[in-house]
Amino acid sequence: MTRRGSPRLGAYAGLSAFGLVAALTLGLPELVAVVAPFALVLAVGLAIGRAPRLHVEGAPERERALEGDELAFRIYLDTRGAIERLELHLALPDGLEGDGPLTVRLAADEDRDLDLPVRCVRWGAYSPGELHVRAVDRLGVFAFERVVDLRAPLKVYPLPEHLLGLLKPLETQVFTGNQVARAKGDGIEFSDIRPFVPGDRVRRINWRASARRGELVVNELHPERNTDVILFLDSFSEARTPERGTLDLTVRAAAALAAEYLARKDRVGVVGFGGILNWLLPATGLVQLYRIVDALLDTEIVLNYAWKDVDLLPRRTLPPKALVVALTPLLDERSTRALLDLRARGFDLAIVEVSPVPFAPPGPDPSDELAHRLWLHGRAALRWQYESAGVPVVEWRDGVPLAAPLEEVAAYRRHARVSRA
Amino acid sequence: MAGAALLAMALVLARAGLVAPSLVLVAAGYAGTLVARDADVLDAAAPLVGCALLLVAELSYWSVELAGTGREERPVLLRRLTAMLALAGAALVLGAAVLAATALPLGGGLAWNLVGVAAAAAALALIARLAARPS
Repeated sequence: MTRRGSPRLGAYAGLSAFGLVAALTLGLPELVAVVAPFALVLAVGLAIGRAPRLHVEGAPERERALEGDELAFRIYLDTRGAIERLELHLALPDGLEGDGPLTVRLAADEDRDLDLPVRCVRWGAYSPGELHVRAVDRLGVFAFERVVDLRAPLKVYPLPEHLLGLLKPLETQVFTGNQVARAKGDGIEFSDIRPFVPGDRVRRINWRASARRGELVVNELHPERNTDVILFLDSFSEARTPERGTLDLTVRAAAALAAEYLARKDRVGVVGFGGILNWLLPATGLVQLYRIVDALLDTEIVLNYAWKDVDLLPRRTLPPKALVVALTPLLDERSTRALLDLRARGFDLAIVEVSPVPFAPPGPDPSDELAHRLWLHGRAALRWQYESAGVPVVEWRDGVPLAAPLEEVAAYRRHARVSRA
Repeated sequence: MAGAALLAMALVLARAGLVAPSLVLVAAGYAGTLVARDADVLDAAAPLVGCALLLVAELSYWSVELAGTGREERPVLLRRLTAMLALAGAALVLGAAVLAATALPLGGGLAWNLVGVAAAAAALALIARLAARPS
């Protein structure tokens, strides 16, 4: 442990020196009586100040938590001699909060378990555990400091938002799922009737219609199929305040959508399109949900000037007929062009614009306000460009439930479908 | 007065570095009053002044330490308060003993002055040596 003198060391030494010199110079023995206690405290503190023998262990009580959870960082202390004041400070990264330093006393040969509370404010992958330990001697003259590395992984997952409805894809895949397909086959939803042909099952005969027609007719049904959903996350740039930003909303929305689609047996993949390009191939099941959420925790804004387009992605990342749900603040030209490129390639695309407007208020000057209005007009023009290409774009602001923009997108797609017919 | 004002500023701003100068100013003020009064009579209140100064110093440093966001367990608070009071009592006794020693009729002269200088220098040297000793 590193020994450091407390402020008392210099203060009491200075005061003692001043008193002794003044007493000799002015011939005032009273000053010796005044500063004698300070000199005594100093001398005794210097004589007894020894580095304590302290053993520290610790780890978070669990490795996974949700946003808003509070968990304990468990610390085990074991000392050989008494420590009058032991200060413990757990240095936490941004996104985690604690209660500040804790001062305890350890008797000789005592071992103690302590819980330091840690609040998970923001999602992310953290390694908390840099513990600053300071042992102060009995008279407070010296402090013995050490930094103990107790870092352990802690994953804080975004708080999932329950969605009542999801976007329905235009096309389904061939595997069984929960989506009513447009095709006809075995299912529950009624589709049409057709004349009986040899090989049809008897249970599918519609006896009522057959009686009216005078010939056997069978019911045709819509089968339930699954879909491929690709969550396209724009991580080129974000707009944020010190507390939250568009990336936080993007990750939370992606986690909620992934959980809901996977619960319906759909295959879900993720593409992180930004300074660092990463992707997760579509798959289904609980394992895929954990993979997706772990991948989302690593999402961050990395400044990168290189031009990127969707050609960089492996073909299996964007399967044909997949529904691509893009979560983007529409701030970077690379992502806006990539989305238009996806639409041009025939993908079923829907854009949820994670609005940066609340995080970028106008400045105080009239010219700032004018620039802000021009910026808003530019964004409206970009939205019109997407809608002209048949891509629904819905603005989603902080504080509004995710279900609202999803319903707007669904309403747009219903309207678009009627227009085609 | 200047010392008290500086101490108040130290406590409000939670600056430990300002406590020592404020104590030096207060001690200097007391030395001034001693110079102004009759030098033949020892001030019997000197041990009380020393005890009070020590209490003020300890409480000031404690106040500055508590100004942060940390918290102390209750046993730590109680033990520290008890230790501080015991230290104040010991300071009073020590101050009284020193004052009593200075009242002994040992006479004066250059020799005793040299002894006093040597004792003061030795005390400061001992403190410096102990401070420089590695832990």
